Amino acid sequence: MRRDAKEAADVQDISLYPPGMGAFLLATFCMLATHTCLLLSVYALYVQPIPNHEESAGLILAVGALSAFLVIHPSFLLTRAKPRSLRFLSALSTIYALFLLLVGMWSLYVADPLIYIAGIGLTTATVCRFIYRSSRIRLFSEHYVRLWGLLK
Amino acid sequence: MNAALQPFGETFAQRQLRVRLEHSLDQKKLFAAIDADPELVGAGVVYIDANYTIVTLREFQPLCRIEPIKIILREPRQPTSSIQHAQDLSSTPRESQMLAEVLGASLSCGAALLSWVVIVGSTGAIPLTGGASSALTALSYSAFAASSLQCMNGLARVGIEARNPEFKDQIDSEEWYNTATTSLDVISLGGAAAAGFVTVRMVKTLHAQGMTIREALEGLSRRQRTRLTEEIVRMNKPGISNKMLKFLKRNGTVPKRYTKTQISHATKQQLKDALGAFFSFSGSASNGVVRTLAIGIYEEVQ
Repeated sequence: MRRDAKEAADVQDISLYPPGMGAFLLATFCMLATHTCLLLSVYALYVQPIPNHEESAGLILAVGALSAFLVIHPSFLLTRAKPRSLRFLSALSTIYALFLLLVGMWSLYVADPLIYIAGIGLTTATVCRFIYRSSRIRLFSEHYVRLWGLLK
Repeated sequence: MNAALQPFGETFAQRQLRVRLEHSLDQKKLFAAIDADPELVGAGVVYIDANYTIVTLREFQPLCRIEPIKIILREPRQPTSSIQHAQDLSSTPRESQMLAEVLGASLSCGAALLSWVVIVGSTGAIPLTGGASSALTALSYSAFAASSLQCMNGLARVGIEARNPEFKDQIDSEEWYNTATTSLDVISLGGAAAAGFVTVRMVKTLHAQGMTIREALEGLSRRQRTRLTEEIVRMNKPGISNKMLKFLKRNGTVPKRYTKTQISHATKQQLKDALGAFFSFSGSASNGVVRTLAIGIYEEVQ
């Protein structure tokens, strides 16, 4: 009986899927969608038309690298006991939401179809913001802080 | 209609359409007009009505050319002017491209989602796979970054297809873009291959102990778990003697036996990895490296 209790405690310590995992996955995908909508808005507002092929190649590859740095890496760090990245992602989603809100208002004013992209982006950014400030994602982050503390 | 595509003969709608066309369309005159053009002699003729019922009025006849050629006559879905109908038809290929983009984005994002699941779970699997998970995580990190970028690329392509399809056509024709997407595909497939490798290793380990995946998921007995733990230790430390194994167990360097939940979770994790590998492969097959390879093999056989 005591042995089973000990095993149960071990299992709790290294459980594979922590609480808040669904929230984390949803937030990550919403963040990817938000970032994509933001890039499409920036492209439509400032970059279009791209002048020549060399510039478009450099620009798109740089944007890809920046996306990985801004969105994908901080989300990974969250699973490696770095709760700082939660604050970063929360702030980033707020900035994205504000920018997309401005784009949406402008699109509405000039009756541009960009309103649809801005609307989707604003929705996903708002979802991200709520999730990154929720207790579920904090539990998720704390789980990994505890887990990596055990593995050290 | 082609017998291979229509194994049970014509449907009622097709028969009705054929009867209607026999009365309303002078087919002999139509075929004569088509055959009058040297480029179209013997061309097959297909008719599509407003409800997308398709009938073949004439099969292709190889009179002046070997490659089959077909003329498609299509009714408008609703009453419209001839100019509008022509414009609608010219934009139809874009509709199908949009569908293909949406499908590609869904597959890429599905693969990315599973990569995230692997990343989240692999930390907990480290004790059971004896360090293999650390390597797997490194590979998974690259794979999930690549598949996340592919997901973003897929979503962006849907947006660009809707807003500025010419730009999408332009970047599709760029060599650097194709190289970049191929590289992302290769990285994703690398992660998929690693996941597949570890899954095969897990299944082999279970089979060596006379256990099935179902048993591992349902829960093994204490003795089975002890044997499995020993097998995993032997696999991770090849050539270890029984004496050394006992010493390491007493020492606490290796566990005496994994818990039921550890084994069950690690098994589930591997199954999810395998599923992720399948999605990565499907995403690649839909518009990536695997598809290019398939074409290459076809040409070689030819």
